[in-house]
Amino acid sequence: MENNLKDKPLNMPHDLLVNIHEKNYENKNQSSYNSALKNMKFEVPQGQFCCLVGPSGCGKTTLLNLVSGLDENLKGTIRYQDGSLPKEWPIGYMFQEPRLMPWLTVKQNVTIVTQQTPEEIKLSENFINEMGLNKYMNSFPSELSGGMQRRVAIARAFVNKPKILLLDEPFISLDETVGNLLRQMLLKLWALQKTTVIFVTHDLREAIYMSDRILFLSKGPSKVIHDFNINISRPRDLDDKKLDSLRIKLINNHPDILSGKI
Amino acid sequence: MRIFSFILLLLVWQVSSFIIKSDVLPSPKTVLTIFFDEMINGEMLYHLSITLWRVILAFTIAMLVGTGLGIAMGSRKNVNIMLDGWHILLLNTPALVIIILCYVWFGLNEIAAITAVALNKIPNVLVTIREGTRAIDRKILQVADVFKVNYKKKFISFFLPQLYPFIMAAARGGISLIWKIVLVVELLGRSDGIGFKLNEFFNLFDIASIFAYTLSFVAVMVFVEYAIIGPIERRLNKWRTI
Repeated sequence: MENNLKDKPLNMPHDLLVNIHEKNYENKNQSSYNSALKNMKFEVPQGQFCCLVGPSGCGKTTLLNLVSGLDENLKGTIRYQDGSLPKEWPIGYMFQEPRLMPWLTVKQNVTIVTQQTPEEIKLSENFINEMGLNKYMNSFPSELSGGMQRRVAIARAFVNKPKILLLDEPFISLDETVGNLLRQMLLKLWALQKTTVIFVTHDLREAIYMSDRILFLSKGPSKVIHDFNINISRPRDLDDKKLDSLRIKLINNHPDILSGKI
Repeated sequence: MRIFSFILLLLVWQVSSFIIKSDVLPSPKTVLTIFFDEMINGEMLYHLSITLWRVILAFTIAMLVGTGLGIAMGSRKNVNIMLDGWHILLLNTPALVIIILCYVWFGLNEIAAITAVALNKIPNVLVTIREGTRAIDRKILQVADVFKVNYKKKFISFFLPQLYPFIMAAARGGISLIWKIVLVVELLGRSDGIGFKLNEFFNLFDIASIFAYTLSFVAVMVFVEYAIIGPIERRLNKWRTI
């Protein structure tokens, strides 16, 4: 199982270099342009778990869509170190909603994004097992709870061995117990795969628990206002006092940081 | 309940034909006798198969063209603006006019007959499929984009399944409309098929045979509904029923 997940090591570092001069949003009513992102510049080293934290509406989802190549309309560049675009490599994406296809079974929902070779089908089954859903392999999404649907989405995000994993507040609207279980499952898979992660959230507690580093964003037009490293060894304990004291220290030093002001 | 209602219909039919005692309303027994006689000794099976073949052909063409145009018009604004006027024109042209024009332009042949039927149905299919295309969930398509699913698979596995309910609705309405139009087309310009025979019986004032032939085709369509459309629909909707 672990061998399956770990093979295909990435042989050269692919740090992600983000350099956005400006990203505009067309405002249809006024035929004017609203700036969503401006002078946003940061690097994500390969294999890093990087959180983006910022006030709602600051353009976090926009940024993920730019990285994934869903949206290609920007002034600036988002490239790997070797000059390739992120979309030239496998990408894993978890949306705010699970976005499963209701007419496909759990297994089909995962395999559908692969080439469906026997190895990939085996790998899909492994990931579904890893998510604790082996009994639900042939169930339809409508038979699953919200938390279970998100587990399927996690399996799907990992199945293509992504070079980068983009997560857009994937655990929003889940209760704390289920959310924490899924956070642990995600970290477990990430520990095996060592893929680069950009995780968008507005929950500081979640960000500190999950990530190696947090980038705080300002209100729109947004840019990076604070770059914060978290040097707590993994695996981390949710109830670890260190996590909480780190959060309190951060809030004390920068009381308005969550509303996008430093 | 269904069986009771069916027996009631037969009873009312039998009683009224008994009271009227006329050739205009033959009794169920007479009709059934003719039905089996025509089926075994007569030409009924031949005409039935000809009509059925035309229905299948016209239905397939109408579904394919209507679905193609519906998807194109539902997803591309310019295509919609370009074709919408033609579509409304065709939608509101009476079936009879289309049939006559097809026969006049293409001659009294099979191609004209099938074209006429298909042209009558295409606008209806188009309306349904265009609505379906507009209701497509873009978020599901984004999943295909971000995981770099190729174009063919995106269409077949991410786009088309969202249209299935609309395609089924168009097919269900389509098959019943089409066989009615096929009969008119046969009556006006073909020398075989159920429509042709009905006209012949009408001229001979053989009402019992008209009943028998109608019965045969209704039987076929009931079979199509229960043995083909029903199972397909259940299969496609499996995920809904749970």
